[in-house]
Amino acid sequence: MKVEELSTAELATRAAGPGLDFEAGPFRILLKTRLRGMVDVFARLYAGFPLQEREGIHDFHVELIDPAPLRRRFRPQSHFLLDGQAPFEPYPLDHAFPLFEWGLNYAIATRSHSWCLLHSAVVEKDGRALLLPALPGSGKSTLCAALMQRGWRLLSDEFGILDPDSGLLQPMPRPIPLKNRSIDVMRAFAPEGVFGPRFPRTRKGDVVHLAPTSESVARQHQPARPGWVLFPRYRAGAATRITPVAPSQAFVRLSNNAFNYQLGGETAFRALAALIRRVSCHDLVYGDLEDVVARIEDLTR
Amino acid sequence: MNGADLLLAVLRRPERLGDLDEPAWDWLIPVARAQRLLARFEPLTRSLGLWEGLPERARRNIRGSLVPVEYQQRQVLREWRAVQKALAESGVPLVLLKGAAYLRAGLPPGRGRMLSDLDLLAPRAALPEVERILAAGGWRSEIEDAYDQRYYREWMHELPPLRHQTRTVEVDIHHNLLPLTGRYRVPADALWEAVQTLSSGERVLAPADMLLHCAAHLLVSDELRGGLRDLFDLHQLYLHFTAQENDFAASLEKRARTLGLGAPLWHALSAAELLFETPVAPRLLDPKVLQVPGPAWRRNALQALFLAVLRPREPGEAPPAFRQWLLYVRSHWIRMPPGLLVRHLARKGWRRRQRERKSP
Repeated sequence: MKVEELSTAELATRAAGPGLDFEAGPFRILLKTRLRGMVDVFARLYAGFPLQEREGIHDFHVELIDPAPLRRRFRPQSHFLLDGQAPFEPYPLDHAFPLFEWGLNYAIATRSHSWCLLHSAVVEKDGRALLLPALPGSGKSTLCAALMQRGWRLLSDEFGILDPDSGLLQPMPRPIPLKNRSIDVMRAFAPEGVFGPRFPRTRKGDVVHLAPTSESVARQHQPARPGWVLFPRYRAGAATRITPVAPSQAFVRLSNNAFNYQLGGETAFRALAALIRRVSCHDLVYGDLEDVVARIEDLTR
Repeated sequence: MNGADLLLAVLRRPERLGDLDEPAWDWLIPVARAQRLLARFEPLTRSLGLWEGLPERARRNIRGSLVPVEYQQRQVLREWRAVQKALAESGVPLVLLKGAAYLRAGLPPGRGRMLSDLDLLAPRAALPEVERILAAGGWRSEIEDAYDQRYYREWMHELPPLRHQTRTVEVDIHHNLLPLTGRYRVPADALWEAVQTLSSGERVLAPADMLLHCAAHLLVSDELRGGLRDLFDLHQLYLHFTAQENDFAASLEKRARTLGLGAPLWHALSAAELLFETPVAPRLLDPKVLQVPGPAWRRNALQALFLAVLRPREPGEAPPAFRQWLLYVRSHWIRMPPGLLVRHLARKGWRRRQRERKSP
């Protein structure tokens, strides 16, 4: 049964009881919460995700709670609990959904070291994956959202999950957080997208989430072969420019920016070296979304 | 069955890991992770030929927790090589302690065990030389406060912790197993007489001494949080050494007397026997044999406290805070005579107030 097949009341009952049990790519999550606002946003942005019915192992046991109901009246808060422990400070209560998304990313980045975790957005077309690795602010989320809205399958806007055994990239489609000016840009670029509510003044500024396309969710267990690496950099008003990057340099950039490259030792080195051998690497400067999407289509044809 | 009981059950009989269904793993994984024991399931099940048969998601979680453990082991061993190199010319003998010793001696608790620091034993007379050479080689003490420096030098059993400027692993150079001011006075000479040399030329404590150190550390350390991991080390060491050596229990008893560590050994072995069903020789469970001082009620009260704090908890279950605090107080009590303890705690309290005033 999919999330969208339940009414929000049914969903809220489930969330408050046994929990919302779902998979995001290779990870299985059990989310328990009584925060009604959280459930409403979840219903919209995770609509296409199947809810798991059979018992099983969960990678992440997550709870979102209001830690002190008595203070609710003057400063309501929400807490993210992982295995019953709160790894960070509470958020304002109405920011529970961004807290959940951020907390889940934290949990993945700090625990899932059986994978090589690259810091990169990943999209796919015809079985080949395009990696968009970058630091925050480079526009990778915006660019991968734009590509997704033009028919690319979203693997992830944050994690390049590389399986060191198979050399394939694992999808983990989740809502894409658009920040500040990207929000209006994307609404204009893809009015048909499924957008969540606006969360003003989070740690990263204003945030609006864009739901993954239904194809991305439906194929969330289908890995993809690495095809291209593009290092994006957004510059207002700049013409699109694509220039080749030496594989050795791409290797250094990817490894420096990865979540767990150091921890992985030789395994991570071999996995990343194998990936670099299979892909072509470029720098990408862009200022216009329509133009850059067309240029990427040309490059990857 | 809950996750905490399940954890004890599989630690008692690791072959049960091969029979767990997915819901059982879902209970077990968070509890084992919280006790820093999840990574051990890979070496444990591999040695029993069960690893490949575990559910894939269980293997992913175990491996995910083993990767950082193995990384840290590499870091600590690299630090060890650097320290060895720096001190090679001086000829000062060094003995590996705790996790790094288990690892280099190929002992069962070394596999999948997180190491935080590099713990070494050096002769007390050589400490000034060791400190000078390491300082010249780029190791620095992060403790600048004069009182803290004095605390380590005069009252503890180690140099203030050192760290190389370009690396992250902390190096703790001890000259004894326990603080000098404490109730247990371990004769360091006796440790050195029994030291074993591995085929690599590295030195470790004799088997019985290693197990006694593990027990003493468990009982004297000021927080027992995660102490179940250390007690499981002791369980694995006991199983391993009794299988290797004919009369290990007898030599353990003898060394406990020589080193004056009968009481911590009794507490630790009794707890291991209860929680892990360690096949402890009956003589070693007799407090008279191990010369545990004091009346039975006091011994039993301490043991109950100790077990309450060691017992694994369900995710989100609050730790027994008051009992932890009692053990914290006790750990200081046995490390220092009362007058010194009062001065030390007053000093710490006063400094905390000063700090709070400075940073509103």
